[in-house]
Formats: sequence, C-alpha cells, structure tokens
Amino acid sequence: MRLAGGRLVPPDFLPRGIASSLLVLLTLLSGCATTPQTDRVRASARFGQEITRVSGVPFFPQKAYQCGPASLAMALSWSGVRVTPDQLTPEVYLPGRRGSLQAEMVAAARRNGRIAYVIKPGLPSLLTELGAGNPVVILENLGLSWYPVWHYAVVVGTNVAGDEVTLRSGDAARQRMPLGLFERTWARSGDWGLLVLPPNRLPAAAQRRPYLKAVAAMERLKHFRQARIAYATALRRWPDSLVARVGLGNACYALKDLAGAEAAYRTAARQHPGSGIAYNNLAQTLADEGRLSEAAQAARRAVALGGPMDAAFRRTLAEIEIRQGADGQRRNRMRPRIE
Amino acid sequence: MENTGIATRSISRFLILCLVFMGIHVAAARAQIIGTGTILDSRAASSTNRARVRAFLERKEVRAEMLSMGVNPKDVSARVNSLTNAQVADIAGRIGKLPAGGDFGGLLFVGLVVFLVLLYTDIMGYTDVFPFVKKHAR
Repeated sequence: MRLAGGRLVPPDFLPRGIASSLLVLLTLLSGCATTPQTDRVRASARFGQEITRVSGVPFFPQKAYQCGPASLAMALSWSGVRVTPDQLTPEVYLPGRRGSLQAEMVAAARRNGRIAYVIKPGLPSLLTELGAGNPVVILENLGLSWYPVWHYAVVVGTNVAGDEVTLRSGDAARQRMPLGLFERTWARSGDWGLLVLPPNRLPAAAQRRPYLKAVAAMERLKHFRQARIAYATALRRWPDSLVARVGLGNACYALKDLAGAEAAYRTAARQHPGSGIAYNNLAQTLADEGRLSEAAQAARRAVALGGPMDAAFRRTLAEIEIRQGADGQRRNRMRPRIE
Repeated sequence: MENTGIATRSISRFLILCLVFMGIHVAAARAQIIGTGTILDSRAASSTNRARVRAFLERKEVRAEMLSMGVNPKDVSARVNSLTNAQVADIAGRIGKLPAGGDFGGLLFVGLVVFLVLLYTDIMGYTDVFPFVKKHAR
C-alpha cells in the first residue's frame, strides 16, 4: 500500500490531519492539473471540424491485469500480424507487478516483426498520427501520482469538435473520454505513446534518429527482412542518411544479398567519404565476394580514416591481407604443376 | 574441510582461466560487418570491455528480477534478449518500481479515504478511476 495518509498523519489528529492533507492535495491538484494542450487544441483552427477515426483496429477485451497484452494485440493486428492477447501474455506480462512494462511492450512489438516507435510527447503528435490513420498505444495513469493506476489503451480516434478521444480500453470497444481528462491521465506517464507499424510505413511525424534507432533494434532480433524494407522506406524520406544507407547494406549482407549490400555501401561511401564504417563494411562484402584486391583497397581507406572503430578496421584489413597472401601462395604452388 | 577449500579454489581457478580465454577469444574475434547501432550510438562505437561487462551484468540482473516477478523460466531468455542494451540499462534494478500498466489491480485494497479522494477527483474530472462517475467534457 502506498497510501500516504496513514504514514504522514499521527493517529491522534487523524480527522484534522486528513482534512489538512486533503486540502493540500486538492490545492496541489488544482494547481498542477491544468490542461494547456487541450486548451491549445480548442483554440486552434482544428477545433470544431475534425473527426478522426482509425479503421481496421480490432477489439480484444482485456482479462484481469492484461491491458498490456490486449492493447498490443490490437495494434499488432491492425499492422497485419495475427496475434491474440493470450499469445502475448508470456511476452510482456509480469505476474509480480500485475502489469506490463513499457520497455517490454516495445520489445514485444519488435519480436513480432513490427517497427515500434515511441511518438514525441504531446497531443499535437498524437493527433497527427491519428489523422494519418495510425492507432496509438498509450500508457495513462488513471489514478494519482501517489496512487498510480497504470493502464494501457489504444487511441483510435478523436472528435475534436466533441472534445473527446476514442479508445479501445479495458472492456470497452469505443470508450469516449473528454480530451481534458485524457490529457491529465496521459500526462502522468509523460505522454507515452507507441506506434506499431509495418516496415513499409513511416510514422506521420517521423523523426529521423528515433526512427532509425527503432529499425536498428530489429537487427538484434534477426528481423533482417523487415529491417531491409524499413531502411529502404526511410531512405525515400531521408535519401542522404548514412545510418539508413549502411543499415540497408547490413540487412542485405545478413540476408546474403551481397550485391545489394555492396551497392548500398558504395552509395554510403560516395555520399559520406569520411565514414570509415561504410568502407569497412564494403571491404568485408567485397572480400566475401572473393574480390580481394578491391577489398584491400576499401579496407585501407577505412584504416586511413580511423576513428573510434579503428581496431575493427585494422582487423578487417589484416584478415583480407592474410587471405591475399594465402591466395598468392596457392597460385605459386599451382604454377609449376600447370607448366 | 580443507579438501573442500582446495576443491573450491581449484574450481574457481579453472573458471577464471576459462573467463580469461573467453576474453581473449572475444578480442581476437573475426573481422565482421559493423552493426548499424554502432553508427547511431557513439558510446557503442567506443565500447570498452568494461562497458561490455556492465551490459552483460545488467542483463543478468534483469533476468533474475523477471524470474523473481514470476515470469516463466522458459520465456525469460527470449524476453531479456529482445530488449536493447539501452532498455536493459533503463530497467535493471527498477523493475519493481517502473510503471507497469495493468489496470485496477491495486484498487481492491484502497481504503475509504482513497476511495473518497478518487471519487472527488473523478467527479472533478482530474482522474478516471470509477466508470460509474459520469464524465463530461470540461
């Protein structure tokens, strides 16, 4: 029990204590529970005209404490992954906490082959994503900061004219919540909102670095096919991104598409001549293709550029040189036999 | 007793040797493609052995915490493995305290005072704990 009343107030003065702590509490509440974002939305041109409905989000009512798996299953199903809350329970639910952590919600979306992207905090980015047809999994605290009731739900629409958001939440397929109340309960989680996207779909308000981080996290889970699509999608938005270009190369390399990898690394090296990593990975790919002299040339370039990955670059070059030496010896040994 | 002491010591010496050789093995790893995460995270780029050991230990800690929270042992490895190093660093040692979305669980134990406070704040539109409180746009 995190009940503050009992601990703070001596029993003799309980009534007065409670009264005064209530007073303090309510003062605090009225002080900090303003809704600046809602007020801004009301004042903006958007107000009075916009009704957004995200289509294609199925509804899974939650079992006790299972709002995490239920919300995630709804978002994943919308994104094209057929999955039920029960299948996700062993991936996100923590019995000891009777709930699910945000980090595990993100990780489980990735495990299921989807890009998990945490949106920029704030109502404007939430409304932007909904407007683009992307449902948003949100974490809200339905209670108070000192008595939290953490809850996941999926926002599937807004009715800014009616001053409401629509959620798939708990047992309700369409819970309508006043925008101001939503802002207050959502603010207690720091406006945490999660997009679960197929790899060919960017967030409506995608930010480059966070998005590429979300894609790079797919490599750890060996979802290289999805990573390749996502990097290619990112390159359409940010054609000169070094991370996306090398990432595309890395995904191709992992899928044994050496030609694709080589092309991506060459483009990366051309666009970013100062990137040793682009040259190093190009060298490794060329070596795998058996083109050792070209590989050695690229590896020497990487070593010359140096940087924090210097040791790895030297290792690549050394290995290529050893292979070149072995090839040379083999050729020398074979020559007399041929003659 | 002395025998067990000697046995323990020799076992631990053996394990230390194993770890040392493993360390050398890692250092002499084959040249390979440099991962995308390394470009994104400059700390990963200059990742020292110490950073690697820390990441390893944090993962171990998260694993132990999850097991103590009742996660099925057969699910635990996949769960820990699907977290990024940054996520592991964020949650290690804090799994008991971080927000865990699970809904109305705690409310079974709420005393009368909490009930009244929440009822009041519900009616005022600060919170949304009780579905029977009629909500209206403010």
